[in-house]
Amino acid sequence: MKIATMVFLAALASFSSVAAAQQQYQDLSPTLKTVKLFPSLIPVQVVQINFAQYERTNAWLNTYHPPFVATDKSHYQLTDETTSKPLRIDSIKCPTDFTGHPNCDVTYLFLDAVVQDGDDLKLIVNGPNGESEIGKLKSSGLQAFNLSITPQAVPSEKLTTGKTSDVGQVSASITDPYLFRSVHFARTYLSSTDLISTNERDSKSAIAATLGLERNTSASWYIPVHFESSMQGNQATTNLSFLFVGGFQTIFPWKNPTLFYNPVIQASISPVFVFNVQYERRVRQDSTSKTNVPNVNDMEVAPSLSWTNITLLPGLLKRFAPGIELDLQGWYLPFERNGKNSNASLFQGYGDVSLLIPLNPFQRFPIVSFLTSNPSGARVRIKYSDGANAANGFKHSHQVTYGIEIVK
Amino acid sequence: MASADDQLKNWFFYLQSMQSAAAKINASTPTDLSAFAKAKVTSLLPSQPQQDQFIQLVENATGLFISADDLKNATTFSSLVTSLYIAQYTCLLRVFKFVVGDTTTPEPQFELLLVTNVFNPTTYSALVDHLQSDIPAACLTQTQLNNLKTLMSSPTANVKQAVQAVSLN
Repeated sequence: MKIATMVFLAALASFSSVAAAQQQYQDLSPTLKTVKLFPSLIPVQVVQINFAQYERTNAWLNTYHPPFVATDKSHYQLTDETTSKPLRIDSIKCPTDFTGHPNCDVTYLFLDAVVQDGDDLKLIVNGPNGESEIGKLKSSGLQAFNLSITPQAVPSEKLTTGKTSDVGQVSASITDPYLFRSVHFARTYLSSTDLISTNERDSKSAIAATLGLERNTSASWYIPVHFESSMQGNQATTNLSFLFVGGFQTIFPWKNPTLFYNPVIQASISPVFVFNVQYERRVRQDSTSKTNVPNVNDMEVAPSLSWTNITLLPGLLKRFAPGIELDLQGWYLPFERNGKNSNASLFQGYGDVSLLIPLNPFQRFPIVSFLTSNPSGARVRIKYSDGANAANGFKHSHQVTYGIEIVK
Repeated sequence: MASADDQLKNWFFYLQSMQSAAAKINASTPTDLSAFAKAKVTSLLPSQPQQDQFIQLVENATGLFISADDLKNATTFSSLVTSLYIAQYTCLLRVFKFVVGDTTTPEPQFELLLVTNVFNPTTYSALVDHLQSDIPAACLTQTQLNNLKTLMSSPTANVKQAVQAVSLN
């Protein structure tokens, strides 16, 4: 009888423990996210646990004095419930508090594993005396390896011979934002976009693959550099090129830019500056390609600058002040004169400027309400562009365009 | 876990660190901390270069790891701190609980108690001292303190209303 009572009490205690864990189930709400490590820019999957969100009076974590802080890997068990596999934790980090000491109210578990989008994970936090806390999470929005293959039938597709034919095509795309996981000083990545046809003379057939490396260069400012090697061609490799690209991008510190932030002109953010150097070696060219681009070697040095969020006369016109946007692009083409354009300029440029006029002050005019149902969020863009078009053999043109756009 | 006071101080430390980072990127960043808390994240950090720069500066200053999705999903910088740490309301509620020495009432029940049943002049005075010590002056105005004082003598006001009176939102 006594033994039976003890068994019953033990079972009751066990049930109470499960019930307590279930009661606190919602409290432990870990999230899974992908963060960039600096300066390597490697994307890492991290489980964020906000212990601070616990109801202090309920959680066993708070019954310890000094408080129990789960900062050891042995305190955590993480399982991918989709595959039933345990996930390895690489390291555990906490942010600092206002005094500069670790604040493990928030704890990050850095995973040494790849979790796929949509996977269900189970996290158990173990206490020193056998207590445990369970949390569940579902992964979403993770940047991971991506492969897509799309077959299609195309009637009367144009061939390189000038004829047409019914063909089958497979469009394939591979993206891996973090290719070599053993490389820790920089992010390595791969992307490939191919269109393979049942007829190798299909004019749409294309193979393109890029292998790249990216890393930040400063501990205090965001100046990522990248180096890429690409291969481009068609399915029959009658056209085949290798490209080598290097460059960086940055914004400028913009705390008190008095020259650009005053009652006459207010540029609230820095322009984005991008600098790229590209070398292309054409290994194989068919007759059409030789006619269009006779150079076997091509090189371009291409700086560009993009500047948005500039306001004119904000001191006078307040919220009705028009905005300005600028884009500038330059090219230095050292091999351009070697080809068919012996008189071509080594330097090319392009620029456009947009004037943005808010429609809010004019909303009582019938034409404005006719054009848009939401004048307060609409503006007219008048854009003037002039210069070379890189996509069209650096042909020069200038034009004015205008339209209404809705700003959300 | 950190004490109630420390959690509230941490909350504002993270918000101030974000303000400092944003001010290096966007010249129109509000200098007033309470205005910054309500500013839209995508208005001050409109595109990826600004967002990546912000993430790096905040990580260097605080050790908080921010993902691109965190920035995308947060409407204001206040809600960003909430998603990375804890809601300011919860920090305040815990200070209210700590001041009156209540360690047993669950928070959802505590916030529904009438303030006249929870606070007396001594604990109210201690509460004001704690709030003034934990919250930067820019985010705890005399108007808010006056509202709190009025609520403290109201027979129908509950703790939730009192907390909201000194909250940023």
